[in-house]
Amino acid sequence: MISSQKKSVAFATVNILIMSVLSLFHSTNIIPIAIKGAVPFVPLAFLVALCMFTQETSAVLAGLLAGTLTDSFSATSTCFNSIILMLISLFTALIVHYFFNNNIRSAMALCIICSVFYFAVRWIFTYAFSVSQAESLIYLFRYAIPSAIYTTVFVIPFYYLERFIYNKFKI
Amino acid sequence: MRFFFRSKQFKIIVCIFAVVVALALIFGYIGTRMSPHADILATVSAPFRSLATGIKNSVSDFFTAYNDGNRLMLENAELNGELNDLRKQIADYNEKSAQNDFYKNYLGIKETNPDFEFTPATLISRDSEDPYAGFVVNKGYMSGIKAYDPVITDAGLVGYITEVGAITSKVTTVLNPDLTLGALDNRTSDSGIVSGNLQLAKSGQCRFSNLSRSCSVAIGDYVVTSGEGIFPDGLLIGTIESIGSDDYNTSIYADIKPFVEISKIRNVMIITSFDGQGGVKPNTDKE
Repeated sequence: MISSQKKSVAFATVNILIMSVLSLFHSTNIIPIAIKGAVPFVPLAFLVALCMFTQETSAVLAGLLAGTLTDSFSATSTCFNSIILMLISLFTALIVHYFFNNNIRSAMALCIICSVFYFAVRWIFTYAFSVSQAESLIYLFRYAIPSAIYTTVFVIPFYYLERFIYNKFKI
Repeated sequence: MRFFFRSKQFKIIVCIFAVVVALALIFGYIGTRMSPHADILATVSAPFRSLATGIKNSVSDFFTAYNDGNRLMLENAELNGELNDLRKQIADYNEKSAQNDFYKNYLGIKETNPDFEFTPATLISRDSEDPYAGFVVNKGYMSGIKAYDPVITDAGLVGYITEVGAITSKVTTVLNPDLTLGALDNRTSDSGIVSGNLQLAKSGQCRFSNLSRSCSVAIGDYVVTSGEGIFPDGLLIGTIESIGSDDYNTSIYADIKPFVEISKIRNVMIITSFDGQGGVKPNTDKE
């Protein structure tokens, strides 16, 4: 019992550290990975992979952590990322728990759905009504959607990493 | 799945959502302060972001110096030739002296504006998904920073502080359409409004609009703040690069290249106090 709790705490600690490092890399752009305006939201890809191996409440807390870290440097409205990433993490955990199998195809499908949702909502709240229609559509099709697709690429290594960590701690 | 929605777990999740949404509504209404949970994480992560940005800048400088070594040697040889030509142009001294006086009026900001109080700050992170190049600096309300404080460098205006945390603050740049400021053509005194634009932001430009059709602005003119709104007057914004007419031919606009290269900013000055501070706040309501 105690050993199980220790494993859970260790699992959570490792994932918090990874999420923090990824958020740090994302905010400082220390390794430039953008391609022609498509900027992947790497913490989101990791969050989707993580939520496939956690319960719903833990997933929501992970989404809150990821969203809060992003809100600390993001130009979006207050708590925007916290709310959206909590919704994404809850959705992912529920879908994997009740509908999808836990495999790499599900991870990629969930990541593309969540990425498109995130960038579309961000586009609606930030650009759709504050700039001209032509400019908002340019942003949507030239930056937002390519960024969503590019983000999905990163879920592949993160899924295998998370599966390794999950099996390592045998939760 | 319906059993999940009746479970205690779901009720806990709903409570967490309710708290976060309440914080979002409260701090969204206030508009100028970070939410407490974001502020705490920003405070904790600020030293790490500063370190990461410092490492990134050092690596970038090293590769720049390495790649530009040959180019700099050739440039040095060319410059020696130009130096000889300049010696022959000593008769232009009066014209250059007049230009120098012009620069002194604006670039000697502290000398001509003794009422300004500055706080230096360093960029520690950027929002990669923001096309308007907004960023976060390492000073907050504990250093006397307030929302709507102007942000400048020695080259010119950068933007203003939008959200303030304990030791970090978010900056909105002149490339952002949320920022609209009164501006003047310093040569002709034609007044207009400077604001950002998504198309122009990609090339690091902004727009000087609402100019009357009878104005006489020209390419190369300098644009400065007019003192309306939250900015003091006389701050350099940029230089006019092109002029056009709006869709209905009722007014003229000019595209400006800011003097500050916003994508390469590392250090800024925040004007925390100046005479006349407290003008009309920017209207950030989205349509």
